[in-house]
Amino acid sequence: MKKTNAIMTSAVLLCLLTGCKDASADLNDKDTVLFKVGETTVTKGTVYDMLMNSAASDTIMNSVQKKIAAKEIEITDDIKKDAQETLDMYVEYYGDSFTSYLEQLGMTTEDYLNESLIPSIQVEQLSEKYVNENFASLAETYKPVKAILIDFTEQADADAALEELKNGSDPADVASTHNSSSSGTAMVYTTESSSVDSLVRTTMLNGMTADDGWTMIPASDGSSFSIVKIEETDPEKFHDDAVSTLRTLADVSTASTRYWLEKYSFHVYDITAYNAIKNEHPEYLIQDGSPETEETEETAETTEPTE
Amino acid sequence: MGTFLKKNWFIALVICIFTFISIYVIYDTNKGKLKGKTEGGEDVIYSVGDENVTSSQFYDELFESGGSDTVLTLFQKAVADASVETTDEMKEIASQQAESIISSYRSNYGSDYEKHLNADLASIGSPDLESYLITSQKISSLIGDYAKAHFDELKIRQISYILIQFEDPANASETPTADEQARMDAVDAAFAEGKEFAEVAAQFSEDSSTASNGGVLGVIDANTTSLDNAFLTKSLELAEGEISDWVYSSSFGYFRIMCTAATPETLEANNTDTDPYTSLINSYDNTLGNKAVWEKAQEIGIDYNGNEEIEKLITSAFAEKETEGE
Repeated sequence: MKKTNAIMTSAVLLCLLTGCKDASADLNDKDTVLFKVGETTVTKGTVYDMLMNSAASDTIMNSVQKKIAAKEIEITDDIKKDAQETLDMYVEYYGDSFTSYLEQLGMTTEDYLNESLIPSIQVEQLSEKYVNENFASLAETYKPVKAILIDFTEQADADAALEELKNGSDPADVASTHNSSSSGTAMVYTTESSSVDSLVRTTMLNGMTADDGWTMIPASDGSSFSIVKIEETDPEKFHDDAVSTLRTLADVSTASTRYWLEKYSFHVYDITAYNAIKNEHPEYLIQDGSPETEETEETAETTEPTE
Repeated sequence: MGTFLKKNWFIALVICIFTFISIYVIYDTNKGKLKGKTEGGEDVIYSVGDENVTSSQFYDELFESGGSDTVLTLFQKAVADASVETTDEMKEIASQQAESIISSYRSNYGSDYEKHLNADLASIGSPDLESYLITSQKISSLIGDYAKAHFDELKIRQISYILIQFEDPANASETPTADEQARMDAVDAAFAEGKEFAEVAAQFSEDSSTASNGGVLGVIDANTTSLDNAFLTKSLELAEGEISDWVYSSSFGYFRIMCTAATPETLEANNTDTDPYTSLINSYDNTLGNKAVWEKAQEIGIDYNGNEEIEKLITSAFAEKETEGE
């Protein structure tokens, strides 16, 4: 009896130890035969496994964002108009091959409009909504300014242009007259404006104001010369342009997606899907905690004072 | 109980410590495991908000995004597996190819290569590189057998050519200039001396991509629409061993074309190092794949198990394309 109890207890402990593994979701009808060629059978499970291996991450992330967008973004007349214009453009540009493509998917143009184009626009507007809801903190982080920036490779061109600009000449005309490829129009620049030389960018975003007028700033390596005029430093005064620029920043886009995933408690319960997302977008597995928290912990470990 | 514990306190202590360690090991082993969820008797893949997406719902989402292509790929693979046996030679070739591919990934990605290779394999739905390469060989073999079986219908030819280019391409005409005629006469004179086509091509052909190789173009057929139309039309008319007269091409100049093989026997005898049908499929006719797979599938027999949607998907992809090619 004692021996039996000991064996039973050991068996239970062994089961507890080894029986728990990462969850793997199964199709209840995976053995349903889709077709058979000779003796080779293809089941629903075969198709499911192949699609899970190839498309799980993208399918989940696309679907999740559409579901969130459907709850957060109202379908306005503007959205419908934009979607219809895109559809009309596809039909005109691709003609019969587009409609054939839809037929293969079992869709009409109306289905495509409502199930693909409109949801895509709603998803795009999620990042815009995120930026609007967090505008103050994002503006503080990325320091957007509205400015005209004209680049020159030759100092002589830059000097001549500067004089003309100070005399009130049109920036676009000055740019083209003096061999610059810049448009001469006002744009929004941020700390992430990588097309701008680092010294020029730092100077523009830290302390320059509209009162400085036209200013020449050489590039950090001296290979080019930028003439800059700050139009506006208060992001609220060019709010829409600032939002348009901020939402395109990679870090903001990621932060936006995480924000919505956290708000809607996105969670994955299948190990294949989990690993697929971890491989491509680990930052979106909010169930694993914040990447900042992990970095902070690592930093804390390295900065612990030595005794 | 109290008496038992007093008498056997040491054993009781050992049991307690063992139990504690067991519980801790079980907890530690399992704490990092991904926990599952079910709803309505089905496994849940993910949840967002108050919505749980079950495996059958996710199957529908996956199928919508890429199911059609996956079914067609699996159909092609099923036909290949049902009709072509896996040989040791195939396994050996696949092993060598895999080694070369892995070496290439290692060279490009360093120690991280496995991650990139696995991601690329996952994107084509094939977890195993060698299996994928064996399937590719089977499909090539299937298509090659189709080409051989329809040799005459496809008008398969192995072709070589000599090109005399226009003196002034912007002002070319069907009547050669004196300079062009002189160059063409030199070719004709070489043939009159009894020189072989390959030798004449190497000496006189003005197409640098083929001249040094004796003017060899390769294996073509009636579907090789990438070639100049006049060139293709004449090539397909030639009998085995026949050399054409000068053929005018408004795009390139003047050709003399030789058909070096117009029968399966000659074609295979001319190409002992490489499979001529694989060369045809890879270089000059990519339309044969669906036709070959469909014909073989009809021969073997397809059972759609009542799945009308799957049947429609497969027949529209393979059968209609076969009809278009007729």
